[in-house]
Amino acid sequence: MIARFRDFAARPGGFGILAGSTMFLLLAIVGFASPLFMPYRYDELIGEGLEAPSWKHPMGLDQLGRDVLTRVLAAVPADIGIAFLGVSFPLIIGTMIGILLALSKNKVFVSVVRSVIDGINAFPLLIIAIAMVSVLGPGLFNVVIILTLLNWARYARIARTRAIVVLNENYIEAARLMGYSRKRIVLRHVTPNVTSESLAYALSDFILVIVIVSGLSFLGLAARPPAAEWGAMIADGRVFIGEAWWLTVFPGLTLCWAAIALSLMVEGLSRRNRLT
Amino acid sequence: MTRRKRLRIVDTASFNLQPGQLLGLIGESGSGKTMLCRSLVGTLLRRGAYVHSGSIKFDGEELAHATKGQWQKIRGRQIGYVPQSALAGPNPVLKIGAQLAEAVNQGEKKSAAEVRSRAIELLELVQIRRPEVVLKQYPYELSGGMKQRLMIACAIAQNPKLIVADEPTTGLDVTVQAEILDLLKRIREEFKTSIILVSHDLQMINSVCDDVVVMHAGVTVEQLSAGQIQNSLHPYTRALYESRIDLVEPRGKLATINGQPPTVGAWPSGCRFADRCDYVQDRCRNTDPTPFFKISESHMSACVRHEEIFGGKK
Repeated sequence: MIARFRDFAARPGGFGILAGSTMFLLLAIVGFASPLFMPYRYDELIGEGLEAPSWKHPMGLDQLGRDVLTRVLAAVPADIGIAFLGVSFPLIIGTMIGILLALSKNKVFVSVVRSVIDGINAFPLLIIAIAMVSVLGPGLFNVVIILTLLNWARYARIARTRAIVVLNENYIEAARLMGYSRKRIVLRHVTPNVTSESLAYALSDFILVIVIVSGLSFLGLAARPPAAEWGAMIADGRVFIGEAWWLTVFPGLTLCWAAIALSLMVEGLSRRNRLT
Repeated sequence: MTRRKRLRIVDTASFNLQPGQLLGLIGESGSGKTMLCRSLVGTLLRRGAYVHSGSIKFDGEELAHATKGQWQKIRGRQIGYVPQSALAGPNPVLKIGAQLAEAVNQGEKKSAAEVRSRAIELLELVQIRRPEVVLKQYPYELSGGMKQRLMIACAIAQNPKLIVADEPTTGLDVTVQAEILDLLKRIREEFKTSIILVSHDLQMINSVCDDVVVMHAGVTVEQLSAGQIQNSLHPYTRALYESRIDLVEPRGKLATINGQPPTVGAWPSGCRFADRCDYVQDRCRNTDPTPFFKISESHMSACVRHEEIFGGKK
């Protein structure tokens, strides 16, 4: 067991995968479980406000007297959870559309959908997301909807390109010659071979989406007070940056931690699979 | 949109296959062997081709213009196909067990235990050792020979009456090639399956098959029993046989066939071997490539001059 672990770590990218996933899982587990063991609630007013980090409150108290550590951890479901949804929905929808495009022989349908994809991809994600929040209204679940509406196009393009390659592979031809039904070939043979690539992209996209969620919250467009969310906490804390650095530094560091963890994983996986 | 010209790829192809027979199909690259095989499993349309005219009779059923639904019942169930380049045949992301399960699980639903025992049985049939271990492996963990055996196992999963093996030994070394051919022969003996074996290798075909069908430029030029190959009645088969490498009795300089086969779409009228044939006469170029002249029950040749050229010898 230990030998296998050592082998895994020794292969290319092993360190990145292990370190990254450990860091990420640590944050995710501690964050999601924090309401179970933290002595305070994220919106509980404990002190008078603005208390420097101490043994009792390792990250200090904010301007309203809430425990910053509790809030940083309580923000994990909002940031990582929402980002996870914001990656999964587009991943699933985009991949399905991409595979359909690769399979479709209807030229009009293909060119229309391709133009839509190109159109969506032509806009900078954050800018158009801000514009759409103004239509749908702020809120974390609206962010998921917006991310799904915008990001599926990237996944569809990746899946389509990959599916076209896969459909010409020998093993698909072989499956066809075995007499497998079309449905079965698409679901069992094409899709798993397509998703390997989409999943790799999704992991790197995860970082971007976390930054978008916290970025929108920073602008007051996603998480609303008193909800705990890193971007929103930084936004609230920046007024006091002179006298209370802990309000901005700790949420910022946690955000960095999540991003670094995911980057290490992506880097490690791409080294292992020689994708780069 | 461009409209491409319709091309005839295979034309005047004809052969008979008896139940339990091992038929060798041989011809140069591009002579239409694969297209002919694909017409037997109804996957021509994928490549934009179709059977224009003629008849494919399989077990009394007419397949030349079979519908998708009809093919679905036949392909994989009654006619198994071992594809070319089997090294890339298994799906890289599915475990061997899953791939076999799929081949086993066509038609009526079977329980997981039934599927598993059938999968192990199949692996044993194709002589893969430690089947329980192999079931849990991925294709990249298998050798070329094992992958080919796996493809054969998938093809025989439904006990088909006919197996079409399209160059099953390409990319394998000679020892493995011999093993695979042995395996096909054993399968035929055990299950009385008919097999169509496609190859470039006349000697190989000649040594394992009962009957040989020779193709040239989209035409089947001759069908004869394997033992009769030296008495063939078509100049192309003759020339192929003459150009073999005989390791037992080397005959000095290797005989060759002049020129290239005509390309698809630029076929000359008359016999398509005419330009390369030593015995060519005007008559050869003027007569359309006819279906076979029947010489005996098991021997058919497409050469209009077979009597004149080889008349005395038979």
